[in-house]
Amino acid sequence: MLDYAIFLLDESGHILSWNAGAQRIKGYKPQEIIGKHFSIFYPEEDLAWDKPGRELKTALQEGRVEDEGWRVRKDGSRFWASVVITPLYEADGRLRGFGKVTRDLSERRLAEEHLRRSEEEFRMLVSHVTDYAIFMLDARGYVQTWNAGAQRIKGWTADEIIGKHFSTFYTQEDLDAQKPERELEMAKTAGRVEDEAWRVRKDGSLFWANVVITAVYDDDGHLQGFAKITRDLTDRRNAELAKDRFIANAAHELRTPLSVVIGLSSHLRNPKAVEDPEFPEQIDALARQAIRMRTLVNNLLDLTQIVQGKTRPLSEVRLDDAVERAMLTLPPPDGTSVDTAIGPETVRADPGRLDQVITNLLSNAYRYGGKRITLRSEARAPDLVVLEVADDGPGVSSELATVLFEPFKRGAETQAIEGSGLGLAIVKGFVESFQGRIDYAPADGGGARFLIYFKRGEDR
Amino acid sequence: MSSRVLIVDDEPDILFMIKVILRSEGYEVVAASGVAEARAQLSEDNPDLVLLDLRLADGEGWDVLRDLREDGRLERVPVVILSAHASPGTIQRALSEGAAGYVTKPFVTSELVGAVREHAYGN
Repeated sequence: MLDYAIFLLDESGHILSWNAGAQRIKGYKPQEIIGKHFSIFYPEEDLAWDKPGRELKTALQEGRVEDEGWRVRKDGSRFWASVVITPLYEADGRLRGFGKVTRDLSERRLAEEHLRRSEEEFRMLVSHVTDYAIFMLDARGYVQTWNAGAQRIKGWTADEIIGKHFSTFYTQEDLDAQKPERELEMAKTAGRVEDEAWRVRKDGSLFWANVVITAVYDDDGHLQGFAKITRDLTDRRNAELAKDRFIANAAHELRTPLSVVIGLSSHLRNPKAVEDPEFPEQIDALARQAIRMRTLVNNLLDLTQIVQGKTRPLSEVRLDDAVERAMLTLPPPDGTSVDTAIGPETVRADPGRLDQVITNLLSNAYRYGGKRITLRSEARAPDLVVLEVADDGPGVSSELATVLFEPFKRGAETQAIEGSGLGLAIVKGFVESFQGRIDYAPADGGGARFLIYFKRGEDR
Repeated sequence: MSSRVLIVDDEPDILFMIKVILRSEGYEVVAASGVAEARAQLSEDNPDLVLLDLRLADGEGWDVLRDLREDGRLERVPVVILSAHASPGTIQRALSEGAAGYVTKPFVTSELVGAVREHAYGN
């Protein structure tokens, strides 16, 4: 019985016996303690109001007394004790003394303190989390707690929502389908239910939510309520939808060249196809569409690099050289003139990507713009160079102008002109990888005009 | 006398390819690159079949399909839709609005020729 100090007191509280547990817990040997008054175990503050005496009195009145409190060991250290004192009587009813059983609860008390503190910390943690709405519902679905994340995601403050039913968060459609009730029912049955759907904010707006409801039971197995964790996945959902759209568009753009390649190549398997006077044109069309697919695939790879944020080391590139290279690669078609006025400044850029930016804007101007194209540069602030690419063509409609740099956005008027619809998205991505910016601003005559802002190199 | 097919598509190389294929199969081929050209052709011609793309530079193939179905002279001209749209909803809509057939892009020669042969002689 090492866990219990069990000993006898006489009717006035002097110690009559001592066991091994008593020695272990309190530190006294039998010869040191027998005959002493048991008040020796009490701390000073308890002696001040004669707690030992009162406990004996209560034990006599009530038949027993139970107490939890600090007690003192032989070495003066304290321990948290559970004490039971029971009066013992002779056969004739005379008081013989008291039995005293003491347990050292220091460890249990430490564990309890630890638990209390960790519960407190957990509550603090939960209440400060802002990325997740974490709160409790009672067994009928009424909101009992509320955290910072719940307020941020859903808009209600704790005062406004505690006590309200959680069906407040559901759309009318889900309410009509009795989804809140069904979800609690499922959580009760399965322990946990997860859902991804629209939920309603305080201001009536919707957000795409991931919701987990977990049934919470007490130690006796009674349903206490539900823990509910909600995440706002609206941004992620939009990104996924945009990605799906992008893939659908890319597949769609591949279909036309693929149609021509598949259609013509299956026609050309006919041995007599060679005798057709249009045979060379057929081969040309085949090659042209194969090149178109290559361009589209290259563009997709460029865009992927941009989306993944892959940058190339920037160097100082002379803008006049870059424009000259572009003009050599892509000379203007007959009847189109290009005026250039580019200063000798250098700009921060990746040379390859810069060439792509300029040839892309130039080829757009050739295809969609007018007959007069101008490229001008201007050093604005000490560290800023602006390149302007303008034409005297019809320009871009105001609706298209707002989405001009988004992938696969093309003007209706340009549908018949071959292009992947990715060029300007890539131009924008590349310019931004130079820590620059591109804007569309109609030219004075209504033609298209692009302004590219570069960081100036260290040429000054 | 060979059957005459009107092709409506805004991609020059698609027009060219279909022309090449159908001519080698013995069809006479007329091309239109959009809604306006298709209407101009149809106002003075009575083709044996129309191959119609749905997304055109100057409008929608649906409009051409409706013109044809509402025109007493042309309502019996079979129309085969030629489109990159392959959703069941779009195909269903085309058939319920009076298209005789539907070929999705990309297609192989035999699919195109098969559809033209089936419907051009079917009316």
